[in-house]
Amino acid sequence: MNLKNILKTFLFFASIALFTACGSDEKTTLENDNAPVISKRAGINEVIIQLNSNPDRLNIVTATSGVASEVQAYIFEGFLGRDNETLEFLPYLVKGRATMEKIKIDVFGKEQDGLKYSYEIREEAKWNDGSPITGYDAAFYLKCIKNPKVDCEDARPSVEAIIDIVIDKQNPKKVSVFFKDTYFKSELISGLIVLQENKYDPDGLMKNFTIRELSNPANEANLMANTDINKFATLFNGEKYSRDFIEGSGPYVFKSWVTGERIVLEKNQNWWGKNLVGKEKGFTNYPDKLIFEIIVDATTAVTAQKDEGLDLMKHTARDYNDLKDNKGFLKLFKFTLPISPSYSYIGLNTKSPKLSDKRVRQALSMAVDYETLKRVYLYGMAERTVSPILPVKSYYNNSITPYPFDLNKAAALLEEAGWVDEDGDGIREKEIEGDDIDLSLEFKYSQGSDFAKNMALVLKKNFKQIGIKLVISQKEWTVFLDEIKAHDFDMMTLAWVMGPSLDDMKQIWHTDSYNGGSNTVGFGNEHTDKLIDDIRYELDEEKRNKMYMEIQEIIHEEAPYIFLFTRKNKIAIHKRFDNAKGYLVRPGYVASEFKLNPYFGVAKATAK
Amino acid sequence: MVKYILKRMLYFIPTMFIISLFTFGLSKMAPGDPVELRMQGGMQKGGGDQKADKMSGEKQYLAMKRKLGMDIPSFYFGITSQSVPDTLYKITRRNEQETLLALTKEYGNWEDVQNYFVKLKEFEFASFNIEGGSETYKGKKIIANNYNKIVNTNDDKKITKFLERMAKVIDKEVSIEIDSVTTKTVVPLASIKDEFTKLTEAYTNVKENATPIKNWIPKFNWYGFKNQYHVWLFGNTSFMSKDDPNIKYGFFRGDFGVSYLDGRPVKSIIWEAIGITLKLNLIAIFISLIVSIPLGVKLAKIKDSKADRIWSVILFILYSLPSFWVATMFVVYLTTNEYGMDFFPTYGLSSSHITPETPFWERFWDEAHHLFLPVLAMTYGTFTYTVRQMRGSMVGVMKQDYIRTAVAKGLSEKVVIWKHTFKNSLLPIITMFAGILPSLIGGSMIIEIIFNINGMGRATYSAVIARNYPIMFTVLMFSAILVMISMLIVDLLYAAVDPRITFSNKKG
Repeated sequence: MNLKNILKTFLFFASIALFTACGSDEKTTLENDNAPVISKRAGINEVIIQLNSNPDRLNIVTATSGVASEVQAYIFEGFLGRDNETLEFLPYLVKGRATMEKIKIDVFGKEQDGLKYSYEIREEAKWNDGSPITGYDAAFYLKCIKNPKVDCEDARPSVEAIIDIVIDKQNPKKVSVFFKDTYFKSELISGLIVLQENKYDPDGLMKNFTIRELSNPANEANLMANTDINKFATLFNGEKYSRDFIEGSGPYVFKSWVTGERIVLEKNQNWWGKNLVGKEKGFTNYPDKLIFEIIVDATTAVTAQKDEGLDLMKHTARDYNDLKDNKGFLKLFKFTLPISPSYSYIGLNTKSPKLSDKRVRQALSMAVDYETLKRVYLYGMAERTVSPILPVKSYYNNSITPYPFDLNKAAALLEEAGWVDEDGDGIREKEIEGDDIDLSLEFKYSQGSDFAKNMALVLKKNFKQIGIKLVISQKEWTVFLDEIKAHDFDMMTLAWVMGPSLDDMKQIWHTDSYNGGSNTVGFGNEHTDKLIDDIRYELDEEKRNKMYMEIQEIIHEEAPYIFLFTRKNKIAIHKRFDNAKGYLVRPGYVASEFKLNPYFGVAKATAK
Repeated sequence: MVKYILKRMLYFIPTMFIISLFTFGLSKMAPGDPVELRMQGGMQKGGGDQKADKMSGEKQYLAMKRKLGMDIPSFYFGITSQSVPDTLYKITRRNEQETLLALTKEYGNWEDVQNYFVKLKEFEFASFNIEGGSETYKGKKIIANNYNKIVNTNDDKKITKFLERMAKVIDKEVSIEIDSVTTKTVVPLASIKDEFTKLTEAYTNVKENATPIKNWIPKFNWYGFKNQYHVWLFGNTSFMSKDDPNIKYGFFRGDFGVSYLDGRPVKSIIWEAIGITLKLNLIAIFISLIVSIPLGVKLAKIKDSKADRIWSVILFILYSLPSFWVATMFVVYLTTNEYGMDFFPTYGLSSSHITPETPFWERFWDEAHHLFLPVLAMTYGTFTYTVRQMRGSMVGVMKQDYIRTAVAKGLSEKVVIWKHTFKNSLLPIITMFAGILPSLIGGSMIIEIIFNINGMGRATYSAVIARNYPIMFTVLMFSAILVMISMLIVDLLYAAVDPRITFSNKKG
């Protein structure tokens, strides 16, 4: 029994010690600033990366989560790569970028304008077993998506426009991809990924189907009932191809995945591209291993990184704020702060009678204290944005002047729009359809967003000064979505994630998207609709950019959104890696580029 | 005894059904459209014109609905009024279903309401075919917006207002001018005039042929076995075929469904998580018992002494420290070098260099090292309760006459305590046991999240957050089964420990 007594007493004092330890941080952490850096992980050529959630699957066709694509990027390869600095396409599996032709194409009995993209796959491109990568592997990837029973409802519409693939009989490395329209993002879509047919479909179940057959809507019922289609989908959706057999042709091979814990990738010894490393952009495989540690709780992850359990982690603004002054941490890690390709905004319901006047919306845009929001709640780790286009893109409109935070100007605009406080209750009112209406606005946001909550309070204060009453209302996510889609709001806040490729503005800004789509604020008129539609089918860059400039200007003038911020990623990377850069393109880094510095963190005695 | 056990197990069956009904019913009442949620807000992607976008959006919606098994009726039967049809579930969209139901309830004539709905859809598709161009642009928008409002309301005043608005636009004449000279006047939206007239007629019919009396006559609809509840419990096939991804075998045949989130069978997700949670909890319970039972006995022996009081204070302090806080403190202070106490690994159950090929003992020690803090965080709080229970019940028994007799008989203290007192004070501990068994698979959510352990607690938590019903259902059902089993075991243990309790029908 004595032993237990001791244990208990120890526990008691241990907990008291923990209480007191809370008070005195920092001081205990640093012994000597000039002491040589000693790292537990010195000389280890593997990168341990945090994932903040478990991927749904790793199958390149059926996986939908962002974390899955973070891992897949090292395993699978496609025709096109991307220069992370210029955002331009790079030929990857292919010899050069596509040659594009405008053609007339037969779309199931009707002749239409279409496009043809032709590629030639590199001579040296091979699968890990030595067999050549051909156009058939790209066609197989497409067949997987077009199989109506495969779990990829999200991906299928994006390849709907591809209605045929033609592979040269003499040289199967020559491929042409045919589109049934002249959509401006067709090159991106034509950059197919390759999947090894005999590995993923050993029984050849999809062999007898052509892309044309699978694309014809008239065949749909037959296909759904077809045994081969069903058999293949059952296998392909199943656990084996979702979690165990993950094989591509890329620089790393999949080793293991323990759900919720860790995914391990190893350098691919048979990679066809290893001779191109260092010679061509986009080809890198420096670390021996990439280990993805799945840690959901942020506090645990930060502690793990302090313990050198993680070589790369994306931090929250608050943690970054603490860590950027933690000298012990900064000895081992350095931060890179690339812009994250997304922006937050406040949507204003332009169909609401209170907000239908653009002067009122402009006034609201001037009543947001952007600087305070950024400094206090985002710890300065953000940049203000004024347009739905990323500033790095060539068609970003530089000439737009952001709305200033100016309550006097805002008040003047409201006055001009007819909103005056006549009864002296501090809230402006206006006669609309024979009724006096108070300028009281409802601001909706989704549960779980701390930033939105804090912002709401700041807005409320500022709005009150110019005679607007703000009613704050927090909603559960699904309810929030339902109400936003039903346009049941005055103001709401959300964020959009943007891709590195050309922006199709239809989904958010076209009036067709008002009912059922994402144009929840009701922006747009005939002219803007025409601009958006024309952009979608304009293949001439110069003409297209001009239209992009114009629409950005209109959006700024009409102010259906109060554009807020694009945030910065706060990525801490272990200092033993050189060449560790941050990028705009998701996920913000490329781990295969990291070059080990073998001398970093080695104690002097052992370094000899 | 055997008869008693069998009888108790028979009770399991209705209880299970009631629980399953409740879980299922609650999931159906939750707000939000689960299909839309899965489709990430139901965004329309891709190129094409408005009609193609709409069609592909509807197709995607229907495919997802089918995949989630929500394209069939919810339950075996429904009791509605005479006016409501038994085929309402066939309407794809939830909001349209609701409008139609409301209309039917108001006017009591499904046939006309149905006709109205068909005409509405025909009208919508006709409106997609209107030639584009500046003459038609405005009208098209007005029609689209009003259409969208009509689809979502059953209020007669509103519908009439929207119809009037549309009528105005459709009949509007536009004069085409060339060089400010009117060349001709056209009605740009004339092409949908026919469909619109049919639509207004259909709506008038709905109102004129109203038979509200039907709303007061109840009707019983039998949907048969092809319903969501039945498929969940019993599956939708009698034979075993593996070729169709839509085949389900049902809960009672061991098919717990497929996770909405990652398409994995729920069985394998839970199987993986349960192993981890069992390991963690069994160790924790074992440690908790071997520490607290002897301590409780000891404290009972030295009742009211100074040591007893000090122990009580210590135990209550431990009890009052919330485990999420203590666990976080452990992680922050004892796992990194920041405070000079890097004694334990930060998270997880194994180090990143451990593979299945690593020698057994190395793996064992690595895992033990990882388990230490989570197990400690799980157990320290349980000591108090068990110790107090044990102590209290020991003290009670010690006052009994037969203990005094045993002491007077000259038995050694050891025999008195362990043989006479201890055995008789076990009842409360056994009761406690009933609560422990279900939590064995429930897992400790907080500890698992803080230490990044992928057990049942974390799996359940993420399922709740993501509304992953198949996982939630399975966990709930298994918890229910375990609660029932543990109750039974406890009852049986009572009988084993205390001869006064018996389940046989002895008389007298």
